[in-house]
Amino acid sequence: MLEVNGLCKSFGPLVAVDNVSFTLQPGDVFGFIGSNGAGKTTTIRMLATLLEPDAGSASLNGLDMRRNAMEVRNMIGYMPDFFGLYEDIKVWEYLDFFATVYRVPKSERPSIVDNVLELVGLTTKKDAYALSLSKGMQQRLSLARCLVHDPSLLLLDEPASGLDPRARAELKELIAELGKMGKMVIVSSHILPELADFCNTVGIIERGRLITHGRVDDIVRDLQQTKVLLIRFIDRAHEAGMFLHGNEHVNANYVTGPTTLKVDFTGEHEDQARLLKMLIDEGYQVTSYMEEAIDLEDVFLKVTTGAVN
Amino acid sequence: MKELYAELFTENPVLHHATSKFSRSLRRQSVASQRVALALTIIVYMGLVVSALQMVEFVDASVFLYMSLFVSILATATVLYGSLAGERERRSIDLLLVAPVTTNQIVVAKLARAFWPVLSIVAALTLPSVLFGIVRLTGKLPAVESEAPLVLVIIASIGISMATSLFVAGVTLYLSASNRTTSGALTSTLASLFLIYCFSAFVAASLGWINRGLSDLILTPHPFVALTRVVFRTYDKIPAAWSLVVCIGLHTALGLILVWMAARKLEMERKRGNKPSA
Ligand SMILES: Nc1ncnc2c1ncn2[C@@H]1O[C@H](COP(=O)(O)OP(=O)(O)O)[C@@H](O)[C@H]1O
Ligand SMILES: [Mg+2]
Repeated sequence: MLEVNGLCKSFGPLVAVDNVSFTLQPGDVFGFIGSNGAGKTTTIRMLATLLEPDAGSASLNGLDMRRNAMEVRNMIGYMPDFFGLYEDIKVWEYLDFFATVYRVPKSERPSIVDNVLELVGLTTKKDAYALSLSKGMQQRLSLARCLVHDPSLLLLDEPASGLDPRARAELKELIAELGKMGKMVIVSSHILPELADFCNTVGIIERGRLITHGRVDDIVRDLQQTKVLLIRFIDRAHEAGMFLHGNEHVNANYVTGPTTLKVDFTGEHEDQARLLKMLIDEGYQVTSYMEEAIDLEDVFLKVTTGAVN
Repeated sequence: MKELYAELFTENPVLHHATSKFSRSLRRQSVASQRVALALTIIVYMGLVVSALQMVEFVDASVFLYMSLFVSILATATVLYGSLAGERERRSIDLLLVAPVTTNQIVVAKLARAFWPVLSIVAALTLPSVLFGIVRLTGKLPAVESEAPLVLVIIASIGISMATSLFVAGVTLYLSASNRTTSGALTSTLASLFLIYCFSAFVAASLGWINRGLSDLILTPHPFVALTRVVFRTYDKIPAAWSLVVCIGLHTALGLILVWMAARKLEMERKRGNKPSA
């Protein structure tokens, strides 16, 4: 379990990270979203024990990150936002080196190297030179390096940046897999759709502040208090819009075409059904009536433009 | 003391790897330019020996000491200047800093990586020089004049080379830990070594603190020896053997302090971070 409590970090007058707190349970994949310069890397580096916070604390599995730095380092796999690679070294040698540094016993090293290579799908590249790998493979090798000591927390800083869509999809699968293995994963990105489908928790950071965080379902549900209904008619959408205007559950409605209407709706399911009946009773010919799905992207847009909180 | 020994040597995973056979592939990273520099050093050294022997009628045995000293300084600096700055340049240093190893362990491993290459180079150059000196002393080739006893020459040769290597390793590692680029580390290392070994000797000589006798050549360029002589105001009377002890002792002590300071530099980096992010 990871508990982050009021982390702060300033660089001179610039407040890079401002009172960030959140908690993760084993198996949580935490999407850490924010635009460039929002403070993601700084937060992650503090959690990786590479930067001391000005204030606040973090503890991993009950151990304080600062007081028990060495033990905590053993439980963390950190993948920086760049590929720190030694020239002229083979894939397996690279992993073997880090396995040694993390004190994996010599007899176990070969099998561990094989296992992580298989997990990231690089078995065939075992004897290739690391620098000869494609960007996507290097990224996976970097991830393999984080795994040699079986850490319980993975800190992945923008792992998908610069990857083509296919490599990105493979990486996503891999990260989801790690979550299923019971690891805590923090994965940052400035592009939300990258994270939307495989994170179960998200945090959105803006100018150093974590403006919202929690389970994806909870956040989406909160937002669904104002759901959007998408209604299609054979005709007279405009008139229907006038008719709904002033209804107690309708905040606003927009005619988006001669036959379609979008409604910002606040009521319960019963109210929603009643609204449909009203429309039909009035003689409007409804062809479809549905709730527009809200996904993380909407959350992000609403939150960052200040529509929520 | 025991704990420190365990931390640095027996329980140091980075060191273990550096000394295991896989390290060869890691050491391969010590780029071609370093090897070129080493080759040049050897050639220059040979050239110096040959021309020294051809140009003078008298050769003091200590000239070989001076040369092995020269080589050990350059060899150590060449092998080590990129060790930490290069990690930073490659941006791989964070991978070591997040690992559960102390910065002392990292620095000692870096030092060890240079140990065998440097030792073998110094040995390769020192021993023949000494032997050559012996041959010269006894042979019918141009007369070799020795003010110092031969045993002292040999001990001094090995002792000073090793101590100087350690000291230079300290200077180089510290500067490597303080620089962000390998070129910065190289420049500042060369500049510092020049100041320490050439400039200060020049000052000492021009102030008359050192003898101009050839046997003094080996000891007096050392700023520490000059310093001892100034401090005790007996620079003409201090015997060579005593200067030697001071020289070796100071080099070793300062070398270790500098290595320790390099580790503290890395420790700071762990606290303050190493770069503004892009
Ligand atoms: N070492 C540093 N020194 C000075 N400013 C820094 C340093 N690291 C980060 N910053 C600044 O802190 C802010 C947050 O940076 P960062 O955490 O890298 O953002 P992100 O990873 O979300 O793009 C930025 O404005 C950045 O310029
Ligand atoms: Mg970043």
